[in-house]
Amino acid sequence: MGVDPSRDELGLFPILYWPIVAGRPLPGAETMRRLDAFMKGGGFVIFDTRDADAQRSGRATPEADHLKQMLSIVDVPELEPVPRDHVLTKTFYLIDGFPGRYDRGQTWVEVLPPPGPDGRGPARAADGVSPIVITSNDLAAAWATDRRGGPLFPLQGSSPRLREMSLRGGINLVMYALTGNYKADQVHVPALLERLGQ
Amino acid sequence: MYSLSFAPLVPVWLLAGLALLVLVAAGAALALQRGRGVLRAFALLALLFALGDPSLVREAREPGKDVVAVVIDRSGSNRLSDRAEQTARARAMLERQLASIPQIEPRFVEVGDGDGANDGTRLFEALNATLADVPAERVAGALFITDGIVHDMPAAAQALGLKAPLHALVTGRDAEIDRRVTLIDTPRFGIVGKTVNIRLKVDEKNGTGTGRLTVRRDGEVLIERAIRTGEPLELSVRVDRGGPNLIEIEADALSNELTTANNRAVVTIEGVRDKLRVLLVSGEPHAGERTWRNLLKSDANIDLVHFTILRPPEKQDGTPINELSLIAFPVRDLFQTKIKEFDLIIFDRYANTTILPMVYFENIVRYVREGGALMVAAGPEFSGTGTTLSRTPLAAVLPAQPDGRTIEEAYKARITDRGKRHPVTRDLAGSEVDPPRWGEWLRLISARASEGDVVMSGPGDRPLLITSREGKGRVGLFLSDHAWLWARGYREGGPHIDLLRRLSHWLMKEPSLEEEALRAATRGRTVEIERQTLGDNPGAVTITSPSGAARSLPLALDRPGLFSARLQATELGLHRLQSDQLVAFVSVGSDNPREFTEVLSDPARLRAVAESVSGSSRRIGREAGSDVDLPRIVPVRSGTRLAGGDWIGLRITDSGIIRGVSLSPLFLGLGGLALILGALIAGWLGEGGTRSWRRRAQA
Repeated sequence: MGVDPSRDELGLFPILYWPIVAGRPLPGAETMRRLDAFMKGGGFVIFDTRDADAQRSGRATPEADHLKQMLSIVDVPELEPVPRDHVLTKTFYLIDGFPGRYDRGQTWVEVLPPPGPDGRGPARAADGVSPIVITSNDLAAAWATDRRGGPLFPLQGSSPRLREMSLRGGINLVMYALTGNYKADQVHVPALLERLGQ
Repeated sequence: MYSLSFAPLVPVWLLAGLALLVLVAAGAALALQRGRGVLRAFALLALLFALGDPSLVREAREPGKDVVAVVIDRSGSNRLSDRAEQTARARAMLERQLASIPQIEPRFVEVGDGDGANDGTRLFEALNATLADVPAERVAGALFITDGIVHDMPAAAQALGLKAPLHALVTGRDAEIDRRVTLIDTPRFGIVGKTVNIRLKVDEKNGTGTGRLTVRRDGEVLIERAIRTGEPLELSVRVDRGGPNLIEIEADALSNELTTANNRAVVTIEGVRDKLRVLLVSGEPHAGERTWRNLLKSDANIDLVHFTILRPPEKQDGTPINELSLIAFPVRDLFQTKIKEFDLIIFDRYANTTILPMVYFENIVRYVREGGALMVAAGPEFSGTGTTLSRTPLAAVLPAQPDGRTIEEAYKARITDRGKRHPVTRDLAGSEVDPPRWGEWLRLISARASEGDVVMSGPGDRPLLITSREGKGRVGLFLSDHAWLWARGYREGGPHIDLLRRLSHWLMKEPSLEEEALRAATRGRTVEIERQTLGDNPGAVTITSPSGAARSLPLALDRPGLFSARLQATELGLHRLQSDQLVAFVSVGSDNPREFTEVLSDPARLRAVAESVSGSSRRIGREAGSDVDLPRIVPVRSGTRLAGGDWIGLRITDSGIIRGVSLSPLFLGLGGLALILGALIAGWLGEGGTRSWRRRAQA
């Protein structure tokens, strides 16, 4: 469903997927403020620069520059590449990457707060869900199907499971937006149940 | 008053010398001239006298009165039994006796109970205040009419600053009977659901040695047992709820007991809640799920156990299990073996596919009726027929049944009239205006409420949020899953945190959120009474004071659902308040007022301090009747004994105040001159005249 972040009510949407196209006019300041409010109010935005293919070490792509300019007025938290044990890798499927049309792009997510004093996961006031994910793997291209369910774009790489993996990654992202750190908590559930009734 | 004073005009040695000469001359005159020498001697003496310059002094003196302070104990303990009457009689008799001693100015001062503070009886403070403007030398004495129980007795007699005797006249009698509860060791805090130990002792004088002890918590009897007095004992009491738990310990009364106020002790134990355990079961991942998680995880008092049905059993595909991050839903653990450990179970858009066998729903129904709490946040699945919870055994405790319609339109949730009185929904930010100042929701599950209180409503006055009580437990039914729109700031959002937090804590029996409640607090002597009710008129509240006097106080409407009243307490101690079936206790002053912990009258208590200033302490109350034997009051000018078997002394100093002095010189001026000259002339005439008269007779 297409959304115009300058006009539409964003609060209704759990996830925005925002592909970056270099050279398009930058969204206005008002739009970015709305996006900022959306992220702070519990929204979840996936920015996809779709430039994993063009990335060379040390050189920023036009898409990356575009995104950087766009986000310059938004309160973006500190980001890090998705760690191996991040809840994003286990919200539904157990996965180790978020491939799309490309496989080599890095996926960035908000830095996890340091573990609490009791070592039982991070100490945080609320559920502490990252409001932003930045990828360059062109996820939507891998998910896109035609009317008969056939894929629209060829994937780069040889693994036949790549398309399945990109779908699993997408499902995990959606689950993350909906259930937050639910799966991270579940590590503690057996212990919690054990403690009950003692 | 007159007196003579001399101010010699010449030095004293000269005057003495002249006096000697005068004496010799006068003696010679008398010896030589006999009778006629008298005038000459008189003239010489008068001259000498004049040199001494005598003058008449007149002092304008006001007779000074010595002050006697009479401090009368009107505190609670000295009103017990017939002590008040004894006190009144003693005062009347003292007034008469003191009035008959002219040198004395009596000052009477009455001392009541300290103002709200747990000060006890403070007679010495009053004594100092009364004598503050009197020099210590002019204090003739201090008299106390008291039961002997004084709480501000100076530790050292010097601190008294009194140079006159202090006499204590003690009311009451030796054969007093009293039993009292003494707390030895009491906890201040306790974890809700756990027991705490209270150590105490029942002491008595002239009692029976055995008694019955009754322990009540918030008015409800917990323990009743026989005890031996004088022996320490330990009670185990369960802390029942968060906030203050008033434990009242009462020993049965002896007959003819002085007071039953000290047969009762109150222990306030602050109930601290252990972590509340909430089980959240989300039927599917959905946009509102994180709102619940954020709310429950940010609450430091809550341990959240969350399950989301990520994949219902019918949706199986070929994905190997080791590639899925799924675990089995431990239904047996949750809904059978450990169900009692949860304080609240929330079903959030839970559709009953085949996951939960019916027997578990029956468990939940039993859990609720036995004191648990259940909340259902209904989504579209609730209005269907296939998987709705309303077609499970759970329906027995649900306060509404869906009628099959789901209303999908933008609407503003409204607080119903009943909701405005309900602590869960009262004063939600934005509800002050109509329509409320908050964002719209977009879905409502249409249902017919069959019981409970509809506190929020949606379009067409359909129930939106229903709270109800089921057996000992509570149920909340939210007929929309759109509270998350407030959280996400949709159309300015709304007070979702307040609403959901209050709702969940009401379900878990947070005392401050009860719909029907009677609360009282004290500020000094003022008792502030608050009555929370969903009804229209809670009627009056009955207040029973420690002495047993009951009075009825009307309640005035404060805000919707809140009525209040104020009372100026005249007595210290535990007041019992009742409104309908609700009972509350409030302690004016402190829980166990000092004034009533010790009530046995005893002259010995004041003896040491009284005798340190040569005073005395004695009982004036007779063993029978309310007559008093007052000792005679004797003004004592000198001597060290200031008390005896049937008398008490007051130190009289006869001091006075001189207002003015006038001097009238006797020999200076015309009068003195006339006298001296007169005497000289008379002498001269006498001596000369006699000679001429003789001469004439010879001729």
